[in-house]
Amino acid sequence: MSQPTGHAVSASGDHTGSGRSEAVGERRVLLLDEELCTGCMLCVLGCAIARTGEMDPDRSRIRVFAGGEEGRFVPLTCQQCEEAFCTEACPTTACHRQDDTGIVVIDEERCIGCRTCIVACPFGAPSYDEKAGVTVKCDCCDGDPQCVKLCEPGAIRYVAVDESSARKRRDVALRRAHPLEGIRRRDAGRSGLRGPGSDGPEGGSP
Amino acid sequence: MANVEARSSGGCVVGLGGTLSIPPELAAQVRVERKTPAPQTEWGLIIAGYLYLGGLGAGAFLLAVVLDWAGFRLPTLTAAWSGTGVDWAAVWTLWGPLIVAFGASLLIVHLGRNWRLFFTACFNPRGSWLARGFLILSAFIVIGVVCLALAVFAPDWVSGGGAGWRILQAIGVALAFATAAYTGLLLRSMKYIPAWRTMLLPTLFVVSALSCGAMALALSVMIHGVLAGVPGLNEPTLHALSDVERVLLPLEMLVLAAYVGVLRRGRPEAALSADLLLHGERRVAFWLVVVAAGLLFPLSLEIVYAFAPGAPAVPAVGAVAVLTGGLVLRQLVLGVGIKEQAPLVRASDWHGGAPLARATRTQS
Repeated sequence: MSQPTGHAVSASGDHTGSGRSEAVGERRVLLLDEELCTGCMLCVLGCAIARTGEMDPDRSRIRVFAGGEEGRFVPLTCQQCEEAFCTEACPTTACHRQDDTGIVVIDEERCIGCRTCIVACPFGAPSYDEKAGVTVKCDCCDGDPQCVKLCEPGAIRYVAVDESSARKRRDVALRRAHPLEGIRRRDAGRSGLRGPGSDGPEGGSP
Repeated sequence: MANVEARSSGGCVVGLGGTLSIPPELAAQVRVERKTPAPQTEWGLIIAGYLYLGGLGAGAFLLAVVLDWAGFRLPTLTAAWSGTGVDWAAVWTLWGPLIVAFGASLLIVHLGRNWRLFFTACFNPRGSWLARGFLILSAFIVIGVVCLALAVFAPDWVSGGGAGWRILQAIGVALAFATAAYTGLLLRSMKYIPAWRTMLLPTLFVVSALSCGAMALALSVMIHGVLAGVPGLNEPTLHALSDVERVLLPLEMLVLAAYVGVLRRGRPEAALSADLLLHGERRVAFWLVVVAAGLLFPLSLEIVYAFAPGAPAVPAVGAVAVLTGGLVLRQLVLGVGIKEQAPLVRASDWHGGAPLARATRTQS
């Protein structure tokens, strides 16, 4: 499986969103942290309004899943895979990687709504917009992601590519090495001991 | 401490009641329960119909041409209103491309912006099997319809068996085989769904396409005999198709068994797919419709027909069973397509794949 690109910014990195000018020259992606997500759905509604003008969660490019008995919330959007299979599977090349930003986008003018990219995506990140009749996915709002601005707990951050993948690899390794580590870190994050921008025990983002 | 329970999802363990105080070294004692991931739902019955009709039409055309090469030809069928020089018998054998075209229309129905298909669908044949399929099916439909038109409106030229006609038939057969194979290769190309990522799937779909095509052709030939006023008119052709089916059905059973066996020994997601088929929620459709009704029952009927010629109702019933089994087989294969589980949490498997807003709204 292709690894998502990206890296968390350093502990002092900006998580409140950044303008397009800051993204130029440095490839950036959204980094989602389910341990900080409170399930407030502001990102979902904000995305839907920003992209469609409607307060319809079904048309949002980001989704939040509830973790059943575990009481967790997991935000999910495009992981901007380095080898994005959705771009290969798309019959019309509507789903493609932008040369300048490196972000994978779907050209809605060329999409035929076949939903192949949804089947192809290992995360199921693209979603079908029934009203528009096309598949849609996160394109980081052209370098100024609205969900990041709206996420009060800092569960969504717009970070440089390099740090994001290292962060994710480290998380997976930690979880496999110490299954209960995730609980401790989540608990610390929710109780306010550690949050975005603060130094955790591992000296990085939560 | 040893009896503490915990649940796991994607490797991240979350404790229940006081587990936060458990030191990591006791993690090995934590009982882990994994959630069952949900199969994909984006491609459902419409796509199953598209794949089924594509295979059925291609298989029928391929076998019709091969039977023609073997000397099995239907008697001329004329109509008073169309005058002489027109042979409608070919309509009852070379109809495959029309069925494929109907199947392709199902794909168009499935699309959100269907009219764009004709302008953009073949932009990415290097990477996308859907784009390749658009080209393959288009070529097959065009060549097949040309063959059909020539056989109907220029029967004298066709019966002459000239090189031009043979070459056209050969191209049609090659494209028919490509169409039948494409229906499986499209699924195989979805590399994050282990249940589809095996060459046994295109093999299974090709054999099933030929099997369904043979039986549909048998039904069609029977109707031709009835229309000609002599029900037993095409008995030799029916027996030839029955002979073919007696080979194809056991072959399909073998390939199906190999396919399910490979899934069971494959990745965990593939094994889950096999479990869904063998003893999960799809077991009734799999065992009853696909295996019993779609393979074993028609095979027994074909064996009976071999020893009791002159009873066309026997293969007719078997044909309906095979055609039903073929459709359900494709629907089941699509319905057990489970994606590889990423090392991170597979959020979309929670709530059966419904995001929070949708789930909340449903509950309210």
